[in-house]
Amino acid sequence: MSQQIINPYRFASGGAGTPAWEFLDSDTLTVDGTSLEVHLGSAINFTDVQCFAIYISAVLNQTGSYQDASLRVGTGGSVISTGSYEAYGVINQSNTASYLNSSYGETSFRTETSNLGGSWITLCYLTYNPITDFPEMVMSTASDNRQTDPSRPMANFVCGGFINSTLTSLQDIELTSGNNFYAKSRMYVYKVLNS
Amino acid sequence: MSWELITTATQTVSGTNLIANFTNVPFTDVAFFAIVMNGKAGTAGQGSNFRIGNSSGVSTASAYDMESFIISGGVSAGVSYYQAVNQVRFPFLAMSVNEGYTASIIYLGSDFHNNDKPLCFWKASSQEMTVEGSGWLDVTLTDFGEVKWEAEAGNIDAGSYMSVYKVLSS
Repeated sequence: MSQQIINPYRFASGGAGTPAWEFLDSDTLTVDGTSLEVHLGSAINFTDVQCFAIYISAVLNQTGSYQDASLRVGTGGSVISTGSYEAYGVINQSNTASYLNSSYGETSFRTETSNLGGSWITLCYLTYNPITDFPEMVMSTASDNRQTDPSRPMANFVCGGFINSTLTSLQDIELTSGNNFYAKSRMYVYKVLNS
Repeated sequence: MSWELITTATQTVSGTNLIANFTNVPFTDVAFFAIVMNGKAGTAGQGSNFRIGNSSGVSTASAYDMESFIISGGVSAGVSYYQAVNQVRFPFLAMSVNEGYTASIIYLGSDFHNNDKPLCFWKASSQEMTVEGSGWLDVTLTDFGEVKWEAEAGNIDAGSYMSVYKVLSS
């Protein structure tokens, strides 16, 4: 049987069916800074979208110590920062895997982890569970920083997780770290339409 | 809408590769690119690869690095890991368990701080396998204008296609 007939990615051939994303807002650093933040003008209910998409391209100054980059979401002007984030995934690096399965009770989702080099892109799809009203996400990350530290070669990182806390709308998205983000780091936020 | 189709290249006659060439799009003008590949690529047990570049042609530098994990074998559910460094292309599906029929999506962005070098990750499947992987090209690339899908051995079959999208940043 041909794989083609079950291809879930057959968005388009000639344009029809292009994914229905709408840009919402972004943050790009012009100078080094401690966070990337998007605060939407108004909250958007999870029920009004298929999901949200958060794209990050960023570089951390990891000189001295390696830190995570922490993604938090919320509404009403603040993000959830309690220990209710959970994520499970795998980091593929140097032809081996390490598993991210110990993050129960964490205060954020990690995009970049301290295992990685500090230069990465991430795409996170964020939705919520209509039964629990808890946010859920899946994300993929490509990371490389061999340029500055050969001990941290490039990596593939995929994970999924949820927040053990009610959130029915999204307005605030923040990416922070114990280290500075270099200028030109950026974050874009989209909504994916459901009709 | 934020996704805009740049081009679709369709293989009309079986050949060793399929190229999508288009007017350069600066990485700074978009959030990222998405590349969808679908069809039959490469002889069973050989699979396929891809390269990227600007509209003048893809990079042939020995500077393509990738990390991925492969889940294969419906019965054994075997998992293996695949690292490739300093390659002349991304061997993203060039695995012995690949039987050719392939569907994949590649997300391509830029590392704007470290010399504008491309980073990407992909999700790909073929009969008997699925792959999650990431790639990095150690070459400065400020514009995206060509992607070349190449069979490791054999052909990209007629009817296979590749679509390239840009995802807008405003």
